[in-house]
Amino acid sequence: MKRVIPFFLASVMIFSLCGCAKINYEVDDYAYVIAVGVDKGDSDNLKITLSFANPNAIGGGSESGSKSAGEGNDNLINFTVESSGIFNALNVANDNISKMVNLSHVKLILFSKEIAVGGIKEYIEGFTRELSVRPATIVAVCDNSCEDYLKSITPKLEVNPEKYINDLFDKNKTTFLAKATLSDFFLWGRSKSKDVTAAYLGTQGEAKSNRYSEDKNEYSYSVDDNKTGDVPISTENKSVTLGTAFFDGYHLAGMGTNIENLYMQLLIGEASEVVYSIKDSKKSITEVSLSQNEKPRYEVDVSGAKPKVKIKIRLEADVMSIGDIRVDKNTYKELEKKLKKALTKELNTYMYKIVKDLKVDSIGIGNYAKSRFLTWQEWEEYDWKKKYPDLQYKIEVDANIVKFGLLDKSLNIGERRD
Amino acid sequence: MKVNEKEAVRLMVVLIISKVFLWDINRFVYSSGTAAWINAVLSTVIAVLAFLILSWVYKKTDYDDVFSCIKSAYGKTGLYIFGTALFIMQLVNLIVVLRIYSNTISTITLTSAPSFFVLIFILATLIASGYFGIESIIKISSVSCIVIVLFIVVLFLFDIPHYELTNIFPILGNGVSGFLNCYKNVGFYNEILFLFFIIPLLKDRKRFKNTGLKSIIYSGIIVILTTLVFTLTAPYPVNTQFYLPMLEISSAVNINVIFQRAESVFLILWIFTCFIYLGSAFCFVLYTFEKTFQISDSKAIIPAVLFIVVTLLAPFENINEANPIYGFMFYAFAITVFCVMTITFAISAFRRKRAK
Repeated sequence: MKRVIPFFLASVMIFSLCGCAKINYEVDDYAYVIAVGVDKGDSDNLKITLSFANPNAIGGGSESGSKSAGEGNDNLINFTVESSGIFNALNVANDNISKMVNLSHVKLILFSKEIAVGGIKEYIEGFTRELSVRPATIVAVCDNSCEDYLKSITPKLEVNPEKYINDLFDKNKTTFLAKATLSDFFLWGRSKSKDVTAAYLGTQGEAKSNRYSEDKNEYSYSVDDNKTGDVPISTENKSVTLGTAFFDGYHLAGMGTNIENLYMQLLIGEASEVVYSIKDSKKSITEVSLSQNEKPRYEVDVSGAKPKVKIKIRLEADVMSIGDIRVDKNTYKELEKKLKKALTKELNTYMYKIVKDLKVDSIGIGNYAKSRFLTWQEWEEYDWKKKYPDLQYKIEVDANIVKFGLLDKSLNIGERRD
Repeated sequence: MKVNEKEAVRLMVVLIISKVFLWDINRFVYSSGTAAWINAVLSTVIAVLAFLILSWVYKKTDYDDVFSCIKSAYGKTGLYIFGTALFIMQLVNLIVVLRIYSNTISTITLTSAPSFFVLIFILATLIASGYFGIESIIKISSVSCIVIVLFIVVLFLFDIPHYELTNIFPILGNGVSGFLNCYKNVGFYNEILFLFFIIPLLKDRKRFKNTGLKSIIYSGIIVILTTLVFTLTAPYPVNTQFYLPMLEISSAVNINVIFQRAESVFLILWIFTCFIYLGSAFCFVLYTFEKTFQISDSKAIIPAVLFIVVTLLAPFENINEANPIYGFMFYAFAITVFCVMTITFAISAFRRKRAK
């Protein structure tokens, strides 16, 4: 018996592990969805766009993978279907393509503005319930049609569309692009202490939706600010970032400009290295690189009728390009003052917008306020959401210029001209 | 085959922490909300105290075998009744846990496979465990324990970028009422009962108390840390929605393009604990029957017990049907281990003293 059992086990392994029997699906039997777009369809239906990665085009290299503008992109194959639900759309797709639809490589979930205004809770919960969809999948809002946006993705520097989306939303590389994941929406969508901010995407050259007019004049920031939708770029890839989408829970509350994401990053302490421009009275522009090496300090006071918060932000700045200014011991102090003043003003404008106007807690001040309460019941009774629009805030920016680049700081072109 | 203290502790740790891979971490979250980890600490402290009392009373009995204590306390008829009750309780627990493990594994992976397919592998493990005996499982778990703990620590470390420190506030969570309920969660350490079953196998039986204490403290550290990490990763009350907290911790791992999809780590841990827990539970069911009815060979009843297990699995079609019984068994087991056993040992000690 002692010899029979090992022989039997060995036989089982020999016959079961070395064969190529078609017991299950192979890797190339699947069609991998890279992005899912959810638009409003006719009647109560949804219009679901599935963007599949085209392994033949990706494997063939850039020559076969990318075409010029207008020709579309072979790397992504879009499939649009009207369906009662997202997962039902997968069934329809399965019936119409030769491969099995697989969601394990989904990188981007897009909701049209119309859907986002109505609330995306059921969709977020549906995707979260599905094990194959990663919690790190990016969620964004599309201006008009998600279908059009996905069709307009024609990356020129990247053959692999999955990598393109990954790199595009990489937090360490982007300053103006808000990044919200499926997990962020699921964890904070129902929370009373924080709201989510997502990227607002669109197609260049397309007629913009009416809500652009809601971007008020008072929310005008620095020289780098552009009105939402006025994307100052010219590119063959027509899919562009239009700005920031502010959510109140699961509902879209409003839009913002690209630069507002910079202020959000500064306020939450995630602006690792960003370029910022200051304009002086002579209209010369100084560009500095801001580094945020420590998280901002939040001092929340909930003792009074109105909550108060004091935010201290500490930054280090490197001069990148400087106008016709003499940089000596005194002038760089002036520059620091200007930087602090400009940042404080703009951060205050941003805070006014999210607190007083949109009433969304994008930076999660509620999370800091929670620490002022001992029990959950006390926190619930305080009703942060209700009191949040009355929040009194004070922002202190401590920005020090620490580097001047490779050029001598005493060099002054104007002086030489004289 | 005798087992040393280290091996016994490792088996106990694996059996106790097997619950962190199921829903049970949520017990602390439901009781105390954001202060779930404090609740876990208090539950562990209560478990330690309860075990100290239990081991102190047990020491007074001077018996090396739990069933001898039961016999001396309640007589031969009492042993039949008590032993049968213990046998049924363990059997029902085994069946429910078996259903939960097999159904959940087919949710996480092998999604298109029918649940009986997964069940076949687990039943094969039970048969093997029954025939090879608890000694073999102890040796396997001695190695597995290190792997399991190592992987858990790796998951916790990889999750650091996702920790949100403000999630633990308000610091007292649901307040005093939540903490007062912590005694209910002492059932997390129910598996300490099995330590009393393996006393005859211990090399140094006098170190039984130390073995138990180490088991509770080591597993307690892992349970507390898992609860804390779960709270830091997912804010309350959203975290109560997750059926498998450990899977949530694993799936949150996302460090660059290299360290992603840590569910595979969860799966390895799941399979290790599933096989060790169910194998051990099956062995202890057989042991209980053997000792209660004084049968000479427990292997003879393996087919019969297995038949009962498979038959009684049928009413529990899915996890939702198994969960209420699992919850009930959690408390019933806790009362049996920490109350009924203490009373039994006390009666046995008293009778022995009187007899002397």
